Amino acid sequence: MRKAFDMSSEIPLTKDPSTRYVPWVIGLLMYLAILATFSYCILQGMIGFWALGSTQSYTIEIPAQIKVDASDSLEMERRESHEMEYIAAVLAKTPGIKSVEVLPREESLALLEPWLGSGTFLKDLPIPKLIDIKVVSNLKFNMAQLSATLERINPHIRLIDHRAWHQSVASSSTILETTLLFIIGFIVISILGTIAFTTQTSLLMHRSIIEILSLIGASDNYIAQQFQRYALSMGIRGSIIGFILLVLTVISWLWFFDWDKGASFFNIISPQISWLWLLIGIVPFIIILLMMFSAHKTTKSTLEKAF
Amino acid sequence: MQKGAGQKLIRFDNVGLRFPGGIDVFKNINFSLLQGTFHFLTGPSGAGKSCMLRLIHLSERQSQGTISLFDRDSTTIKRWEVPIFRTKMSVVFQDFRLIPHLSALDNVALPLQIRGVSTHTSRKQASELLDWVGLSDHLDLFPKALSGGQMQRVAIARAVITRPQLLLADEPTGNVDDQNALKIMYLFEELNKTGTTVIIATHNRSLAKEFPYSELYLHDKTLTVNLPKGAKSI
Repeated sequence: MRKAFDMSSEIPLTKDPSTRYVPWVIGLLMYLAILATFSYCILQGMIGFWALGSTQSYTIEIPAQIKVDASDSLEMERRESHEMEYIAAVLAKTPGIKSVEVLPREESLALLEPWLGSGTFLKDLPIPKLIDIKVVSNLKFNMAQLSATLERINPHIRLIDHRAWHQSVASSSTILETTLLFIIGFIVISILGTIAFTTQTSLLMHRSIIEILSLIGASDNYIAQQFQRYALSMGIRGSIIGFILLVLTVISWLWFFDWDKGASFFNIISPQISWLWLLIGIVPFIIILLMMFSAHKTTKSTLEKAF
Repeated sequence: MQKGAGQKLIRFDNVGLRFPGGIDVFKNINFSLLQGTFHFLTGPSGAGKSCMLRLIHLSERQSQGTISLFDRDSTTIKRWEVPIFRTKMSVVFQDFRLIPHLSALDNVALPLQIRGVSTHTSRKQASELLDWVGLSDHLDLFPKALSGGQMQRVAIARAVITRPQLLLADEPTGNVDDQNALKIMYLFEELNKTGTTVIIATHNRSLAKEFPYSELYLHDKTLTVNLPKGAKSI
């Protein structure tokens, strides 16, 4: 295994005592880069999932009417039932609507339970009726028109658009995304800096061999290619270490939280970011290319100054 | 007649070399060497023989005058062109300059590998050359395990493997006994017969006198050319 990665022959780069731990440092940095990319993908998946659920769904809130006495109750129920039938008829005629679901009172009460508890008084609590609407697409659905129609039926009816909520979540997640991208960028710069520093150190340590190579006709490119190949081997090793650590991290997350919930979470978000998973493979690949470029450039510029 | 024989390979016009601090190594040196010729560069220790070889090998720049190499003014040769010129010449260094972690075989094969020859071919040719210099039993030994004379022969094999147009040898017989010194000289003569211009730097003038070649004698910062008997020019 070690022999397979030992691609440089004339300059014994793998035998440098000063750079012995560099592949491990690169491995750790590569892990952080892959982890940050993975987190970015997860975040994108979550945003995508929320967006799918919220940008194509609306809620109609019909306020509850307060009962004064028992005789009122019958009349109110009749009126409410009539109102619901009318709203259902309006929604059936409205273009762009995919599905309509009236939320049962029990479900509405369940939404309040975390705040109000599960006492018997909830049964008599006047709570608004909720109708969940899913639209085919926002382009085909005219929210303003439906809102106006509903207002004519009952001026207290509210048509709630979840896109506003999504907008605030999206803007918060943009900050998080930017932070993650900044972290990835910082890690990449750290890796490139490590490679440049290691290359310079190796050039100094192997100065006599490099001088011999130069005297027997080796061009700067030839010497730089040896450092480039070494950077490639460190990059490949680093990526392998990074991926192994990532798998261990994900397994430990799932172990710590809940294996089934974690698995279903990945199932839910995966369709939103199918192409983004490629990033986890592409980012290390790009980093390796940059490492090779950094090693090549550092070698050439150092040789130009030193020889 | 070898290809290119008779063409000027090296030309020194009023060349001088001064070290930082103002010490002149030599000045106003004038000579020209034709392709396919054989020369000794002699002089006492410290006369500047190695410096002159370094100027020819483009490892150093002259302080004054013009050096023409392969019909090109050396001052116009750009840094990236230096390896191209160095592929046309080879050097046998006084201190051998072998790569310590490579075997004798790999050291000799290296110049070919640098020029893009495959590992298999270069090692095959290196093996033949090491056989030629009498080291066929030492192919896999590392420089540490070789004697001074053996290292010298490995260095010579490395220098000649590319069949250079110009071979520069700095004290190539300095570390060997008289018998081996003569053997090494015969190797250089054989190479010269194939068209390679050979310049041997040595402080041993008696060695130079044993061969019928011109002597470039460096002394007191100047150069004197001593021609062999019967020759009219170098």
